[in-house]
Amino acid sequence: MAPEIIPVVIPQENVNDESVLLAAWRAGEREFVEQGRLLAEIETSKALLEILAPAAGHLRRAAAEGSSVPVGSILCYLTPGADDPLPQTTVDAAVLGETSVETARFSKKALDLMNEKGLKPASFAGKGLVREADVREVLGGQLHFKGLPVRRVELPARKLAEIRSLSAGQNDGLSSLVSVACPAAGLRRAVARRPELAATPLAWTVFEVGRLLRIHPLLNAYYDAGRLYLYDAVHVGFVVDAGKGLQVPVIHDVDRKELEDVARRMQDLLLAYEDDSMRAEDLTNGTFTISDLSAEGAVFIHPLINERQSAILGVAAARQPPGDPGETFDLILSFDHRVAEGRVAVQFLKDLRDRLNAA
Amino acid sequence: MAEKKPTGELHDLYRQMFLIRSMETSLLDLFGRGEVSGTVHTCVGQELSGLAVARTLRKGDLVFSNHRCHGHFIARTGDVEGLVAEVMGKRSGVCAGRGGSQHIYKDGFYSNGIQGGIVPVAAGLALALKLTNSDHLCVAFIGDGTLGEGVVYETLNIAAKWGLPLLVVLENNLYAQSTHHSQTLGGDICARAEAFGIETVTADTWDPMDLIGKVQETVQAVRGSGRPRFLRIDTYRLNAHSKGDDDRSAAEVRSYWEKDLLTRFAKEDSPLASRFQREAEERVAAAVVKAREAAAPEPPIPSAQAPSAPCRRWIRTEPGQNRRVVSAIQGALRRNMERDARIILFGEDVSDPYGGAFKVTKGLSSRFPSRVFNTPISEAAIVGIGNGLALRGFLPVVEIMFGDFMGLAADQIINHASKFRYMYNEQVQVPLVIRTPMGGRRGYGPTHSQSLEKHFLGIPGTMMLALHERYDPGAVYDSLFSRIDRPTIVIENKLLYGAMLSRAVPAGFTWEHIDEPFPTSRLRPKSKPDATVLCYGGMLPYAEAAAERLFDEHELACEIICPVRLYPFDPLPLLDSIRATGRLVIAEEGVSFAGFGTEAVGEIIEADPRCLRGLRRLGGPPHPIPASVALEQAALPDAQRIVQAVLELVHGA
Repeated sequence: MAPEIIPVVIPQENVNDESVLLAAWRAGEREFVEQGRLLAEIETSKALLEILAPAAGHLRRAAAEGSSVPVGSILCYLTPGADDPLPQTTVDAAVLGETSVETARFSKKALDLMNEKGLKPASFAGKGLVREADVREVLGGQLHFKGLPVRRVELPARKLAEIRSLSAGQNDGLSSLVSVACPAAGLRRAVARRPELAATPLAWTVFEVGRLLRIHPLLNAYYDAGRLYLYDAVHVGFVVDAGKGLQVPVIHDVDRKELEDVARRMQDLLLAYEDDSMRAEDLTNGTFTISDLSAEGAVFIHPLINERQSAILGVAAARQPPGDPGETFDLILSFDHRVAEGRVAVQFLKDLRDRLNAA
Repeated sequence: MAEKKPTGELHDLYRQMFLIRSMETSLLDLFGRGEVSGTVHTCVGQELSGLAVARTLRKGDLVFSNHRCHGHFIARTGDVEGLVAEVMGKRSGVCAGRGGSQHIYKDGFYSNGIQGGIVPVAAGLALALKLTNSDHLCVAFIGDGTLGEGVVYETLNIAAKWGLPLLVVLENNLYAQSTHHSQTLGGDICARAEAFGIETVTADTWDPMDLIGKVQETVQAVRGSGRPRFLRIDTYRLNAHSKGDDDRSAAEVRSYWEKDLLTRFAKEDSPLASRFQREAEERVAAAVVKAREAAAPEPPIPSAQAPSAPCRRWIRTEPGQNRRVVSAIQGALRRNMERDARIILFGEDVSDPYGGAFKVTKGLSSRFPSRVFNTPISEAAIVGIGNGLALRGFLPVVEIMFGDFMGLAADQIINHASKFRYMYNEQVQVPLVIRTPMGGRRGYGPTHSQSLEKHFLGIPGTMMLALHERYDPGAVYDSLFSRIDRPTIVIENKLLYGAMLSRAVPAGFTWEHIDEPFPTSRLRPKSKPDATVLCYGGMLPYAEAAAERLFDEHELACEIICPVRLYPFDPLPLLDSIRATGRLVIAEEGVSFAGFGTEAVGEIIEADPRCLRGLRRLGGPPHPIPASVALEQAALPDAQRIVQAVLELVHGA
């Protein structure tokens, strides 16, 4: 019998806790751990629990640091091989109990800076240890360099909205980037077989992404203040910038739409962009975003995650000349590491590649 | 004289003397042929002393013998087969081959290969008999050579003072190994015991009826009075001390062979003597054959790795009650003594009104007058008597007033307490608690300020605990009394006694401890730690102050790991911390060379060779602890040195 994949479950510590906080991973993803090795720390309302490996194996995380994990759910797996496929799981979001806010401790440098800037210690309640750098972070925009001559240019409202959304997506985020190469020939073949894709080949990618996000719920989610929020709906936005400014129209409930509906909706939205007839609801409530810059010839891009999302897919141009038998382009996923890990992201991209080439 | 009546009795004694002699001769033969390893100390010529004593003892009386114990053992138990197999190192031996010739136990018969050290242990056995109000007694067999060791006198003094039912039988065979006692013995043998007010009797092994009569009288006297007696039996060892180490003159040895009882008996009644000898040889030969066929003992299979617990539980340690450590320990001792009548507490100056040099035992002798008592200044006897009590199911707690005096009790810990359970093949346990304060910073100078625990650390079969103020010392004692199964040294600390358990946890940090009886504590910064500090006992407040200063002044976060149980040591909490920081500062008050911290690092490196990037060891000075406060302060590690060490590790020297 082949060695087993061992799930590690969050133990019931006391009856009051329905979920616990995954405070920190103490072993790396895919790292080989011996039996008894410390894997993770979880905080209950009463104690800090160290989860030890019940057996030797490669650690495969199933929850994100800082997230709340229900008691009895799977925290991680120990697999015989570093890359063994894992059973599919979903992580239910749960709300943590209130933790008491404790007084922070300030370094002398931090205190000096706070005094200078008139910041009150209360601004740091619950922060634990506060260093000078933490104070500077809070001061944020209040600090700037003086002396060099500059010219001020007002930004258009649309750019400000974009900045706000992207900043929110990056704020404190631990963004990470993975990519896989996708053969271009298979995709071309598939598009050729489906007339509904002739005008908008990207619709097929949107369609498959919609299906895949049901399987990879962590990429259809967002992180906020120690908690993980998972979306029930799948609303996929796609970036459009054809000379009339950058916009991200959203196709709602992609996971419940047929391919031709997705394609039709995409065409409608593109027309609305051209006509300047986009409605507010066409541009809001996206839960995932796709940025396709392949037409611009970009072979690599680093897309920025939008507000209240955990990932964005970039579609790059092929590096080889068109028609080259080895022609591939990159599927790139930028994702919030507080929510998901590289394993999840890569699996998502590999699944997508396979689906796009399945025809 | 009196030949008629006791003939049957005498013949019975002769038969047993032949049995013992035949066994000893056979063992020497086996040794010569390589079937017995190590050594054997035979008692040919001295057989009668053990037999004369054994025949007057009752079931339930106890015997503690020495390296030359075979005759005493056979006289008391008759188990030739068990002893032969034991000496031949077989599983069927009385101690399954663990003890061998000198270290045997069966049914209240003990022996050990250390001379004077057995006497306080025997006195402890006698005290156990006295405390259970039995009319039994304990016999300790020593030799004239044993008189060179001071612990004998510590014990004679205590046995006399406390009225212990102890019979010390001194077999005077004139030699300590190869040295005639005319070279080593000052004064008179019996006068030594008499000086302590112990009545003495002298007999010899050449006049059996006189010996038997005197032994009977003496044993009866001890049993009746519950007071110690001292019986000197003059005798002669006809063979070498062990094997081939005999430099005595041939003429001298020959003269004693001629005087020997069995030689004389063989002349008087040759047929009967031959029959006795034949019977004895047949029994011994059968025992040898049986032992040869018996299986060799198998080394214990190291217990398979315990099934890994699913998690390690760190419990937040809230500040304790508003009381000092000294009162927490005192409260725990009192609480456990109320609960468990087996706990007996003694040491120097522990009784009221004084209540111990550091007042830990104050009030206990008033509450438990029969279970708490003062001793003379006799550290070896204190621990030895504790050993004896523990062997008989008591939970003795002994106090060594200053840790500096532990050296005086070292033999009792190393060669007695720690070994009995193993070498007697798990037939006994020694649940002995040795409490002692270590540490300086009170200006007591070179001999009252040391931290000597490293010299007692890692003795197999023992446990060492170090109390500190961030985990209730009373809870440590509660755990200890509820599960003690081995000699346990508890390191207290002179400054610790005055510390308040209610001191607030420093802001920005959490104190927590593992959910175990003797937990490791951890000061966890609420931020990723930059370095790990390992400490224990009295160093903890300095490490904590250093952690505060390192953050306030240098923005560095330190994690402190502070175990209660130093041995056996669980390196995992430390390992986990080092895996996170890569840097370790060890702060201990004792000299760090060959100390606890060094051992801890050894375990860490063994488990994960790459986890440690930087190490600093802080310990006591390479000279005695000076008395002057200024000098002492400079000599012992403190918060500032810990701060400096962490800065060096993080920022480079």
